[in-house]
Amino acid sequence: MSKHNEYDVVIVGAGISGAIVANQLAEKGHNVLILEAGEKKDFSFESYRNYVHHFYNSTIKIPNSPYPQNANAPQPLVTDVENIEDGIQQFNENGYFKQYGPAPFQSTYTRAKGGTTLHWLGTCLRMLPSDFKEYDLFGTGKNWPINYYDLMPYYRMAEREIGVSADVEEQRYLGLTFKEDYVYPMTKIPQSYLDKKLTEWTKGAVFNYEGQNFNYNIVSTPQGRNSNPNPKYDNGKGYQPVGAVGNPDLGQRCEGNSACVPICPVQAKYNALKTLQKAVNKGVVIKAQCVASKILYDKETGDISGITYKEYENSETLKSSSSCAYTEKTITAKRYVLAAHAVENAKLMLASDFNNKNIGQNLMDHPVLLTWGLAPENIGSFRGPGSTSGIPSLRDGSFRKNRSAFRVEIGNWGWNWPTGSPATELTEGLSNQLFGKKLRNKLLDKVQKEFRFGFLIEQQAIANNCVTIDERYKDALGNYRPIINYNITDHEKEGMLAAKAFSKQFFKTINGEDKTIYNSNSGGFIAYKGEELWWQGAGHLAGTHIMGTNKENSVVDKYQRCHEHKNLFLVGCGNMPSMGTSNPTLTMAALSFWAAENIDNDLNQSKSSQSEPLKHLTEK
Amino acid sequence: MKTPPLEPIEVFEKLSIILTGFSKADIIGTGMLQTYFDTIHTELEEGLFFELLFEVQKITVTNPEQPSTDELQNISELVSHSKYETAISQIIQLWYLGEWVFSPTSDQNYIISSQSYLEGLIWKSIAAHPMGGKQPGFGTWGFAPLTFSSDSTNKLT
Amino acid sequence: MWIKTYHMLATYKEELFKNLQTAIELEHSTIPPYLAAFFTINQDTNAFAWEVIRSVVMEEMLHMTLACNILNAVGGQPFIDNPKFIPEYPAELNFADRKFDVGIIKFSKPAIEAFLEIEKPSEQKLNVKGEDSKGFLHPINLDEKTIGEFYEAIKKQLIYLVEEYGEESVFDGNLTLQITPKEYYGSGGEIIVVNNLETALLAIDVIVDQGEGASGSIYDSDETYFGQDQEVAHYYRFNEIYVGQKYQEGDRPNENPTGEKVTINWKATVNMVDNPKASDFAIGSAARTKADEFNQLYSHFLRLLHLTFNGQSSLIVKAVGMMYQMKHLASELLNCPVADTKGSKVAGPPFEYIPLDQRKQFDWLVTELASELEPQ
Repeated sequence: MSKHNEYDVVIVGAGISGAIVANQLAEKGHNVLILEAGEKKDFSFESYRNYVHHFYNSTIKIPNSPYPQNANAPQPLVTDVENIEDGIQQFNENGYFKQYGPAPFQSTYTRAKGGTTLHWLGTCLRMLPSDFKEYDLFGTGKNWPINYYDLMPYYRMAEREIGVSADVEEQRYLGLTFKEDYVYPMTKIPQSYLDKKLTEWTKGAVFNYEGQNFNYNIVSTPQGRNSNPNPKYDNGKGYQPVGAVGNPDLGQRCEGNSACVPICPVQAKYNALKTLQKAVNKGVVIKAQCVASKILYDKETGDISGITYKEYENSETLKSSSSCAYTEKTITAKRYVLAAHAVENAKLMLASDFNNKNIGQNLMDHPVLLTWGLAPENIGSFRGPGSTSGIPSLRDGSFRKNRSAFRVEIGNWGWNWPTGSPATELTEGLSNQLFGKKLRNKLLDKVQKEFRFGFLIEQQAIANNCVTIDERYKDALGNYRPIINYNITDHEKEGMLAAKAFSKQFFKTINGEDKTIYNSNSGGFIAYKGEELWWQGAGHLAGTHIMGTNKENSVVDKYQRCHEHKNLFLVGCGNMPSMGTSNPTLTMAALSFWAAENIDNDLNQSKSSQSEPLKHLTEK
Repeated sequence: MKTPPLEPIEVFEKLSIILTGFSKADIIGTGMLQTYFDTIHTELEEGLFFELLFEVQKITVTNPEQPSTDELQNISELVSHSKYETAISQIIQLWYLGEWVFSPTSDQNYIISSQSYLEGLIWKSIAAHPMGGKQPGFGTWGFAPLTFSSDSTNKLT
Repeated sequence: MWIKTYHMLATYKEELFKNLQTAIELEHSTIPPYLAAFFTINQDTNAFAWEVIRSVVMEEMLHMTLACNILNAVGGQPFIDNPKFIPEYPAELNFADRKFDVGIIKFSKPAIEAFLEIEKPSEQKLNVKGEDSKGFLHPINLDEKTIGEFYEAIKKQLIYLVEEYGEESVFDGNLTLQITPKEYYGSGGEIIVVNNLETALLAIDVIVDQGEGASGSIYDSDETYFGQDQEVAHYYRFNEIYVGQKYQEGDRPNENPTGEKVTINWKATVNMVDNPKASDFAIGSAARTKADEFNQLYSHFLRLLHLTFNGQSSLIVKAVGMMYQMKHLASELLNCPVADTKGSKVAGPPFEYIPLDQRKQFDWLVTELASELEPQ
C-alpha cells in the first residue's frame, strides 16, 4: 500500500456517473483516478467501430450484443432468462446473475468503458415534482430527502452534458416547471410519421378508466441525441453539438440509423465516452481491466482506507470462462466514489462487510408491459430513433394510491422488441412457402403498419427485491456474482392492468388491430385477475443504496455521502429511492453533478480545515 | 433456337431473382452473389445445390423479374418439393437476412459478414433500411413512407 | 440622377450575380469528384482518409449553401436545376495561371492531386501536379489563380458597391430566402444568415478559410467563429492524406506535416471505372439500371436544392435525405461489374443531368416529394 495518496479521488466505474464526477472534479483541479472493470479501449473511432461490427455480426441483436462478454467482468444478458415450465419461472444458471425469483429479473447493464450509456435509448425525461414525495402524497413508495426544485439546476447541467433535444414548452405538464426562459440545448428531435398519424387519429379522444378520463396527448420525448442547436440556449450563446469521440465531425446530427439500442453507429446519441474523453483531457487517469473487489475501512471511524482491486492483464482470455490471471492491488485516496452501477455498487459494499442493512435492498426497474398491433394504414415502421414520442398523461394522478403510474412509450421499430420482426415475419412467410414478389408484398403490407407500445410501469422500492451475495457464487476472478431476489407487487400488476386496458382502447380509437398475444411460457408472463400480462426489463436498475435521512432508512444522505463512511460517496441510480415513470439516466446524471459539487466542497473544507457544512440546496 | 447452357453462377442469379422477388440490378447491387453461392455450396449437403440449380435450369423463365403464371407454378412446385424445400428457405433467408439459418432457433446460425447484414433484402422489402446502417438522414422518419404502399397501384407484380 | 445610379447598380449587380452563380457552380462541381473518392474507400480500411473526405464534402455543401445565401441576400437567384449546372466530367477548371481536369475517379493519388489543385491556397506552391486539361464542355473559368482569390474579388466587389450605393440597396434580397442555422447541417462550421456586408464577408471567410486555411495558417477558422475544435483546412487535410502524415501545432503552410503518421491504404479501393457514364453500360445490365436510377435521383436532388434555395428552405431536410439515398445507391453501383472490362472494374455514380421532362418517379422517392418534383 502506498504511504501517501497519489489521488484526491478514486472512482470505481467509468460509466456516465463516474465520468461526470471525474470531469467535474478535474475541472476543479483535483487529481482523479477511475478504476474500470471493462476492457482497455482507446478513444479512437476505429475502436468504437469494432463494437459496430460486433453488432452487425450478432445473430441475436440484444442490447449487449455489440459489447463482447468478458469473463473477468461478466455482464447479464436478456437471454439469460429462461422460459416458464409448468407455471414456474426457470432460471439459467450460466448467466452472470444467480436468480431466485420468483419473478425474472430481465434487465441488463454493460461493463465496459462508457457503461450502459453505450446501449441506452437516450430518453431524458425529468422526474415529476410529485415523484420526489410519493409517500407524502399517496402513502406509497418512498420520499426523497430533496425535491424537484432542489435538483433543477443540476437537471440543467445534466441536459447540457448529455446534449438534450426537446421543446421546453411541450414539457410543461403534470407540474413540471422550468427556469424562466429556459430552452433545451437543441430543438426537439423530429417526431416520427407514426407519432404524427397517431396524434391525428386520437384527436379529441379520451381514455376512460376507473371513472377517470385521461387524454391521449402525444408528446415529443426529450432525447440525448443531437438535433439542431437552439440559438436561444444559454441566454443566446447557443450550443455546440458534440460529435463522435475520435471523430468529432461525425454524429453532429442524428442520421436515423435506427439502432440507438444497442449502438448508435455515429454517436449522435450521447454516450459517456464523450464525458470521459473531456475528463481525460483534464488529466483524469482511467485504469481499465481493474475490477474493484473490496473496500477497506476503519471499523472505529468508518473511514475508508483503500480499495482493493484485481487487475487482469490478458485480454486474450476475455471470452474464455476459465479463471484468469490477475494481480491484486490496493489504492488509496482522500475521497472515494462508487460509480460502478446500482448492482455492482451494492455487491461491492456487501463484499466489504458494510453494516448498513439497506445495502442491496429496494432494487427497482421499470417493468415494461409490451403491447403491439397494426395501424389502419402504412406508417413506415423501422425508421428513426427507437422512440420519439410518448403519452405522459398517466404518469401522475390520485390513482397512484392504488396502482402504479406508467408512461406510454411509442415504439418506431415495428414489433422488433416484442416479436423479433421483421425476421420473424420472414420466417412466417416462408412457412407458408411464399417466395418472390408475393413474399415481398406480404412483408411490406404487414411490417409497414406495425407499431408497439411500451408501458413503463413505476416500481416501488421494497426490501425484499434485493441484491445479495453468497460464497458459492463467484465469477472467474473470484468476485461475487450478484444474487437477485425479485418480484412484482399487486400495486404494479394493477398498473399493468390499466396499461393493458389503455392499449385495447387505443387500438379501438384509431381503428387499428390489436395483435398482442402473449406466450405463456415466456419469462415475464403472468395472468392477473383474468387478464394476461407480459413484461420485460427496461434496463433501469435502481435503488440498491438509496438516499434518505438516516442510516436506518438509507445508505447515503442527501449529499450522496454514506451515512457511516464520511469519505465515501455513492453515485448512480442506486441512490434513487424512487424513479417515478422517468427513465432514470438524466436524474442520475443530475445527482452526479450534485455529488461532484459536494465532494469538491468536502475536499476544499478539509484543505482549509474549516468545518462548514456542505452547501445547502437553494433554488426554488 | 438453342441458348448456350448457363454457368452455375448465372443459374444461381436467375434463381435468386425469382426467389427474392428483387431485380437483377438489386441482386447484383448487393455485391453478395458470389459469396452466397460459395456459402450455399459449403453448407448444403454434398451435391444438393447443383441438383437444385440443374432443376432450375430446366424450368423456362423468360424474364426472371416477371415470371408468368405458368412459370410461377413450376417454381412453386420446386419450392414445395420435399427435397429442396429446406434449402430454398435457407437461400431466401440468406438473401433476406445475410445469415445462414440452420433453423430459426439454432445457435449455429451465423451472419456471413457485416456487409451481408447490411445488404439483407428484408430491409428493402419493408421500405426501411438495416437497423444500424444505410442511414436515411436527419428527420426523414417524419416523412410519409415510400410510395410502393400496398394500397397504391404501385403494388409489385 | 438617381435613376442613373440605380441603373449603374443594376449593371454592377448583374456582374455580381454572375460571379456568385459561378461560385455556387464551382462549389458544386467539386462535390461529385470528392464523393467518388469517398464512395470508393471503406470506413474501416481507410478510416483517416474516409473521415477527411467525408468532412470536406460536408463542408463543400455548406459552402454551396453559403454562396446561395449571399446571392439571395443581394437580390439574385440561384439557378441549380439546369443542364449547364453540372459540368461534364472530367470537368475543366480554368484558373488564370493553369487549367486542369477534375474527374469522377476512384480514391487514388491522382484524385488527391486534383483535389490539392482545387483547394490550393494563394501562397502555396503545389508540390503535385494534376492532369493537364484536355478541354471539355462547360469549363469553369476563373480570372483568378485560386478559389481564395476568386472570393477575394467578390469581397472587393461587395465592399465597393456598399460604399457607392449603401448597404440597404446592395443587400435588398428577401430575408425569407435565407437558409438558417436552424436548418439541418451536420459537420464543421455553421450556416450563416447573410443580410448585410458583415455577414456576407464572414460567410466568404468561412468558405475560404475552410478550404485554404485562415491566411498564413494550416487551420481554418471554425474555432474562432464557431467555438468548434481546431481543424486543419481542406488543402492541408488532403495533403495529410497525400503524404500519410498529420499536421501538428507549429507546422507551417509551405512545409510538410510533422505530426502523427497515418495509414493510407491506397490499394484498398473499389476499382471503379474513370468518369462513368450511364450510356457506357449495356442496356439491361445491373450497372446500367443502377446508373440510370442514380442520374434520375441526382437530377431530382438538384431540383430539390433549387427549390430549397428559392424560397422553400425547409426542403433542405429532404435534400439531405436524398443525399443519403445517393450514397447508398452509389454503393450498389460499385458492386456492379462492368461487362467489357471482364469484371475487373465496376460501375460508379455518373452524376449526369436528366432533363425535367424525362424524370421518372421511383418507388424509393418519398411520396411527399413526388409533387414537389413534378415538372411545372
